[in-house]
Amino acid sequence: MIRLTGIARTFLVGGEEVHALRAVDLEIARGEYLSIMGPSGSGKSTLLNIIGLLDRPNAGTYELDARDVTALSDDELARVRREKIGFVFQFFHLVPRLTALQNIELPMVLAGIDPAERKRRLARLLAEYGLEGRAGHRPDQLSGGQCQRVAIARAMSMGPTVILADEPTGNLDRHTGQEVLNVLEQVHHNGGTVVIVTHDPEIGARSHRRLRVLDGAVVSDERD
Amino acid sequence: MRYADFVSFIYISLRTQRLRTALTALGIAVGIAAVIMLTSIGEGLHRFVIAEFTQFGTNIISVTPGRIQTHGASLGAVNTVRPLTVDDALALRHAPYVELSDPVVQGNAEVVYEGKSRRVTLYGGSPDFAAALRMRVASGEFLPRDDPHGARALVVLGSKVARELFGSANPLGGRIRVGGERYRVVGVMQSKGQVLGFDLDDTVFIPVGRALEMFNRESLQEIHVVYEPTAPLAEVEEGIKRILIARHGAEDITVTPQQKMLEVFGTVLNAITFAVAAIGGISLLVGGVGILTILTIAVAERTSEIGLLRAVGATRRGILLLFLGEAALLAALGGTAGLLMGWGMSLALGVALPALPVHTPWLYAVLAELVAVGVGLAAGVLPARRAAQLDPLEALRSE
Ligand SMILES: Nc1ncnc2c1ncn2[C@@H]1O[C@H](COP(=O)(O)OP(=O)(O)OP(=O)(O)O)[C@@H](O)[C@H]1O
Ligand SMILES: [Mg+2]
Repeated sequence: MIRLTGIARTFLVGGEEVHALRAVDLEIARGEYLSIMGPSGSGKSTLLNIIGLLDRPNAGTYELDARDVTALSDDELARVRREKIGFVFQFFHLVPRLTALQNIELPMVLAGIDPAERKRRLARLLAEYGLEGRAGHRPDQLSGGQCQRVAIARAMSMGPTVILADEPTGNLDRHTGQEVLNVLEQVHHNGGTVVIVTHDPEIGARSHRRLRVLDGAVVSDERD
Repeated sequence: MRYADFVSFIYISLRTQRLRTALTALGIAVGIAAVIMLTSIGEGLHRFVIAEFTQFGTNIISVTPGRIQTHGASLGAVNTVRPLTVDDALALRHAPYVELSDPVVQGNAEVVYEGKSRRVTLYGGSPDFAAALRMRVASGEFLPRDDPHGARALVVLGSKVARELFGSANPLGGRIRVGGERYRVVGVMQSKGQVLGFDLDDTVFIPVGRALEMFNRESLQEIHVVYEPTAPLAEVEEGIKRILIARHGAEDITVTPQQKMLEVFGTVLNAITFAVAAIGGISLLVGGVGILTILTIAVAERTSEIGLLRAVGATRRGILLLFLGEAALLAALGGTAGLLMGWGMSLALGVALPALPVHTPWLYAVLAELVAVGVGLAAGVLPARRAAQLDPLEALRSE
């Protein structure tokens, strides 16, 4: 489903090349629950952003759902992101002036999905992520955990191929972090593909496949 | 993105920043209000002037002696100008489509009645003078149809002259002196009031032949020719010229249709209205700068939101349109408010200063609204393009 071959990403910083990723090969199958760990600056986020088509590699090829997406145009990338990728960020990234409901709806609105269909999906998403009582609240009226649940619901709204979460619990206390993790695992149980970047070994241990990244390279890849 | 969602998204953005939106829209509103008010005054003036002229009818042509050179004075051809005579006026009655022709000479004269004297404007004309200029008699009659070359010494008084000389007494049949000669009053005109600064009521009317003698003149000042309203103007002009050229042996007259004069006035007055609108437009420009500023700030504030929108599937064009739409809606709101403000101020001005003619042309109102939206779009282009060109990842990281 996801196949990276020889993916490299270098940044030019002050005239010097920084190798964020060096020739990464990676395959992720449908329904996997995968964690990416490694020290700070090792390239975890860069890898996730390339998978999420927010960043482009300098070398290598990327196939998503059997389609080469390495050389797509900017507009095509936006369309693929909309249809196949669900992002969950450390800092939630909710639009502050929109209600929880409107935030969840955003990708569907951008995709031009018709209002009746949106309403149906929204009802299901609100129920599934325990947000029924919070639909009309704005982000500043929600707890961190609720914000992240809204973000997950938003990521799921278009029925994506994969959910990419970059330190989704990094901004939450332990208990709330657990709660959010439960929600992500629920997505996995329902057949979704989940990739989590994390520093927390406990979270890593709960995933079914653990990737270790060091200095831009995948150094270990364990499965249960 | 659906149109309704697009509008709603923009609307929510503007509503969230109520004060900011209101102040920015105010900038546009003031500009539009200025344009509306200034053009209302300009258009009012236009209508006023046109109405002043058309009260004499529009199917009237003025024939004057001498020729205005329109193609630069040719030095060799010095025209000897023949006088324009009463017989010329009589001959013009036979020109095609002509209904009336009225020889006119005008000057000042002293009128005296029972020791009261007054200096007035004197018109020498034919019995058709009143009909040609659409003036009405209040009492008695206008000048009778005497032989043009031997008319009796009869006079018609303007309403003010009648009042000043006769007070409340009936002037009809009264004997007065006009320029030293004895005249009998046969009629009093209805009041016409001031027309472009002329007091048409402080006038007297006598037969044209007598006026020429009184002023010791050979030539008329002009001939008023009234033609059928539906007649083709060019043919009427042609007919008049043909007759006078035949009589004078050369084209030594100038034919000025009222319609052409109105056209010239219209052009000049339109230019004034437009210039005045342009001055108002400058304040619109200032409003546009306000939109540019506010939108630039908004893009900076919402950078991470732009990143998020791009991450969940908005294209660059989508982002561009969202910010352009925001600028346009902001300007349209300001424009509408300005329209109401300008209209209200014009109405208030009309009430406060009834002498000042004010009229709000709807075309200008619609144009002003379009210009407002145009200004908004123009002001929005730069910040919207900046927003669209942001790299999604970098935008997401900015916090
Ligand atoms: N936009 C960029 N410009 C320059 N260098 C970058 C950029 N993005 C990442 N890097 C560099 O690439 C390397 C990998 O960065 P990345 O963000 O992927 O690390 P990470 O593993 O996610 O770290 P952390 O755990 O701190 O989030 C780092 O050395 C970083 O400095
Ligand atoms: Mg990172």
